Amino acid sequence: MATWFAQRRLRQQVCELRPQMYRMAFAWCHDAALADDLVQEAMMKALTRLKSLQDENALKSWVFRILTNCYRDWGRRQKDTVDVDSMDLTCEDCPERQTERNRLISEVHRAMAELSTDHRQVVSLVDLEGFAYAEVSEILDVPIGTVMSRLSRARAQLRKVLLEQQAADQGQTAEGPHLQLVRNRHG
Amino acid sequence: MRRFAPHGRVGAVLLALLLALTGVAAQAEPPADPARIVYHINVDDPAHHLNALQYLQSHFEAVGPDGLRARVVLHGGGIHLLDYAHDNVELRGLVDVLKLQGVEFRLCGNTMESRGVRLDELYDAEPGDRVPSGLAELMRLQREGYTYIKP
Amino acid sequence: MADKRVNAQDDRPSEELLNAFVDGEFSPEDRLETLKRISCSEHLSREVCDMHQLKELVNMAYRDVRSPRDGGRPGPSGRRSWFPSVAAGMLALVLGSLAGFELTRDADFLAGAPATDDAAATLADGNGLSEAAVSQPVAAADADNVLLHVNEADATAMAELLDDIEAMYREAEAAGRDLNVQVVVHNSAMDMLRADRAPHPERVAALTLDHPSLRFTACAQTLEQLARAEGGSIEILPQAERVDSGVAEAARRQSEGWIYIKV
Repeated sequence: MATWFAQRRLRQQVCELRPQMYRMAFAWCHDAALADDLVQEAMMKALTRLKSLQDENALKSWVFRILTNCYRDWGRRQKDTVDVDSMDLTCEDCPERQTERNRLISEVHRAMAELSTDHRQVVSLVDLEGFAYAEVSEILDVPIGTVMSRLSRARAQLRKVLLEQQAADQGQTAEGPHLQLVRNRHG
Repeated sequence: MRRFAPHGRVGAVLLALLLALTGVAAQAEPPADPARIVYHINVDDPAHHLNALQYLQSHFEAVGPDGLRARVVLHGGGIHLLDYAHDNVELRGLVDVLKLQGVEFRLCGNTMESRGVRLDELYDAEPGDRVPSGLAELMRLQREGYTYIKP
Repeated sequence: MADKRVNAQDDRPSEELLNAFVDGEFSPEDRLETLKRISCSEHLSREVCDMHQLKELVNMAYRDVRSPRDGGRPGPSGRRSWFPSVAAGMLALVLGSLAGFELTRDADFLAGAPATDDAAATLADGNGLSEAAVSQPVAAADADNVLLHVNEADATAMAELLDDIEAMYREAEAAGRDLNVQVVVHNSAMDMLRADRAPHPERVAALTLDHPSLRFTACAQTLEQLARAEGGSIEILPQAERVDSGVAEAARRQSEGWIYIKV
């Protein structure tokens, strides 16, 4: 009886992770329908494999690792590379895009989408869910050193892309102390 | 002896019950075998709770206290019935009277666990009242020949 | 972290170290050390500040991302989803392995006789596995048949129902009894089986995988009403089956002697 209640508690915890998993899956693929499918598949796997979970405290990393594997398996099934332009990035002409905030959000999504999968996954795991480097290393099954180098390159790339977008928006060429533009507008 | 609060309508019922028990006007044959029924309450609505228990009580009044063997399974939202009984005199009175006539309340353990309801929060509840699963209990009782009623 | 410790001859901590600092990966002593270096340099301070801001930006850009299931905006209609085919495939595998069972209530078959051609043929014709509409496996003398009639339910009640079903199967297993559970869903509880709105689709999938005798059936009349009201056909979860009328199905099972529970 005690084990069953414990299992039930774990199941509830897995279900409660759904919104976070969806957010992560979306950050990886920028496709709402695909994100939903990935989360469903990952959750089902997690629920059916719960008995094999060794360390309850590592539940969240364990679940996200399953999500990572689902995403990777999906990637392997794809014959063609995913075209950035076909993703669910907020449309250019929608009224929603008019608000400053939404425009910025869509720019960040686009910049993220342009990163390689490896880079994008590391940034989102750290920035969206606050996983420690050690946990990211577990989830992606790569050494910590790799996590650190991917992260720093990814962020450098993001910074560069976002500035280029900003400069394009502003009609200027980017130079000098860069993110000051962002700070002034939104800081 | 369980506590009860004889007020108003409940008091009248109680009196009628006592009169019946003392056999003042009882000429009818004692029932051969009491009918068995199980009430399933899973809605979190005090008015519904009151209604359901009143329904059960009128059933008793129709067949007499020995004519019926009844269980009330509280599951899902219905688990709160015994919580409301603390503050609701009429509800509490009904619970008392029904129990005097042999009605047993069964509390769904899953529900209590998932809603964080403790046994000591429920009026006059004892550990023996708790069953692991309300639905499984309903299943078991029906298998034993109890008629299922969802008010 | 020790192997990444700043080389004493470098003035400037590496990119990776700065990132690690911003992400709070340092031990308190290392943190203090790095903080001192950073605060001495305006350029470094600015860079760290930018990194923080970028981190905030990324976090903010996804904060409101939410699946329609969790209360977000509904996505574009007409989505093609590959998951159902995966799950349907798994379901087919499980059901296929049951093909050896006779599809009647003949208790003798419990002795474990191998699959007969008759049984295989019965399974193969009529509704195919692709529609996931297969009759119950063996119902022996020691089996319980339960019809759960779900009329209305909110997300909490739906989760509790799934818990209850699980508990019922557990008890049946402990008591050495077979259990067939059919869930009939209609009216306002239909969300539970809708492909676009089910709050716990993966629990439904996991449960049907674990318990092949469990069936989720959706009232076609309710689905048609919803389709008319919403102006488009309603997709149900791959594990769910359609029945013509929820009420008729409930009545039919009751007349067959099934235990009836209205949830």
